[in-house]
Amino acid sequence: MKTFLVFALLCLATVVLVMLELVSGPSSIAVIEGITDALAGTRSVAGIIIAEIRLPRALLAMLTGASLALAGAAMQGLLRNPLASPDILGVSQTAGLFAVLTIYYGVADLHWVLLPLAAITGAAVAVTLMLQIARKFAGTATIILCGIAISATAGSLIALSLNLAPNPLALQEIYYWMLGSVANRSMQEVWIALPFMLVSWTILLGKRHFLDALTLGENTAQTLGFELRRETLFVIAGAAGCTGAAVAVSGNIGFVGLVVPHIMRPLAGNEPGKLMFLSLPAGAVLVLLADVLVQHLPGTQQLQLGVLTAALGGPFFLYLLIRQKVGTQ
Amino acid sequence: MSNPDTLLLEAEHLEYEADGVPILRNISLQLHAGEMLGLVGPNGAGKSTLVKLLAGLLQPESGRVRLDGENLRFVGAGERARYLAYLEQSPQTHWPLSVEQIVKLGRLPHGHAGSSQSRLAIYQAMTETDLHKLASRKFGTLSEGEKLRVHLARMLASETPVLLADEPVAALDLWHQYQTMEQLGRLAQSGKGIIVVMHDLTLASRYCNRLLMLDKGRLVAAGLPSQVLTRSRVAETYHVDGWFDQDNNAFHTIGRLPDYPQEPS
Repeated sequence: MKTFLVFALLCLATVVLVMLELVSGPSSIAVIEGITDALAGTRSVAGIIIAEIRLPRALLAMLTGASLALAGAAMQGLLRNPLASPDILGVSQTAGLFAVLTIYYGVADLHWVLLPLAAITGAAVAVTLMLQIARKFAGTATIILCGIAISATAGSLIALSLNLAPNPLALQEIYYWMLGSVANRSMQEVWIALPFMLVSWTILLGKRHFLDALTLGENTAQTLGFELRRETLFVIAGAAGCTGAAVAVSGNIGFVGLVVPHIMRPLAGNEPGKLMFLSLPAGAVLVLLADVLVQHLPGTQQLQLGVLTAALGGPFFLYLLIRQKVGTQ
Repeated sequence: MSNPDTLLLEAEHLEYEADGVPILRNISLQLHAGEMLGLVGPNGAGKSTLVKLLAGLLQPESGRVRLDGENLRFVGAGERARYLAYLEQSPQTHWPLSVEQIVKLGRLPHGHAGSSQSRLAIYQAMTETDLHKLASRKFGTLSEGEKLRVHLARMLASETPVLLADEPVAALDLWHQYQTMEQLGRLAQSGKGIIVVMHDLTLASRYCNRLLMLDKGRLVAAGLPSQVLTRSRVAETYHVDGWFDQDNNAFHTIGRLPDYPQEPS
């Protein structure tokens, strides 16, 4: 009951924040008029700004936040480790690497679909690699270590491509993409990310009982009626799909997958299954809030969303660690 | 619940090896409704491995386990979970869940924990183990005896005919050891089939209907405690001078035997 109430409140907050996103932006327009024009399909300046600039931005902030937080909650449940996050699997970094390579070689400019596709492919490569490793060595510690190795490799290759960037333009593009943002996106990005995200959400939420059972360890979870390897692979695939699709359209928005499940865990009664349900809207709320904030912060240069989440998320997470003494258990 | 003497679980000629080293050789056993079977033997004899094979956590190289006559290999994970509940040697809980939340996990094999049958099963399991007062306590704050009761309740909530417990009393003080064994005994009397791995031979011989003694992966004796725990067999298996004293219903040990300087198994 409590969980349902929190879920409902978070969904409500998401709707309110999406509205806030629609009234936020550098140009002052008649928002109500813009929305009615956008709905009616009338080509007015306000309508175009709402439908083609602000709405995709709001939707991407919502979807990215929800996906990253859900992926984080799922990975923490799977690895039974409150410090785990999608980043640990190296999936976001590999997705990032593939995206960077398309920018580096100018492929991304050929067609809008290529950058997101490359990132999703990168995520798929990382997942496949993880699946192979998981098939050979089922231990969760091995999976985490392999994730760290994959993430470090992808990170170094991104650094290499920055180092050898052919022209300052590519350098700048890669650099800004890496900072993470949902600004200057279109509905095309929403449409390419959405199916991957919806499928991944469905997979992960469907595996909530398995993650609950894993609380008692892998052996007991198996004797509670779950086929360990099969269920594990589903969770890995779902988390990777969420992360890959999010990174594809929004770059590197860090700490969402780590911090949101942390905040939501007490409200979910520490149950991994409930935690996934709450993390979904909570992630949307956090990223929407951050994106509304970057748009209202004073200054000539708009702050990148990923910079803000990292700046707030990092110290907050550190505070949580110290307060809860996580890891000493 | 099954009729007494119904054959619940059967192992036929189980062989198991790990990295080419044989762990279990030609193990056969039968578990009937209403009986508690004690697995005894020195460390490394293969007791835990045998329980894992019976629980379906490991697959035998050859031989088979039958649940209610069906080959375990072809029984789905869900069906298996509704038939046998398993308590591992050192059960883990990774998140700070409450007692009630853990007991509820026992209903996972049956789907939704909110159904009226599930709520009843959870209530009865907690009554049986006297856990209502602790329902909202965090598992991590409990004593070892209470933790074991929680896991027992979690197994009972699954309403399985078979319970498998790997050294359930190893971490408990004497009072809780007796309490737990009495409880398992009552459950067996109520018609469940129970297999427990035991190190304490007095408790094993008092509370188990039959004992199976394992040594170096082989079944060396099976039967009533008085038949299994003879002085010569205890000497051979444990390298210790000890025997089951039927008059006092207790297992006595004198000490290590000088003829057997090495450790057993």
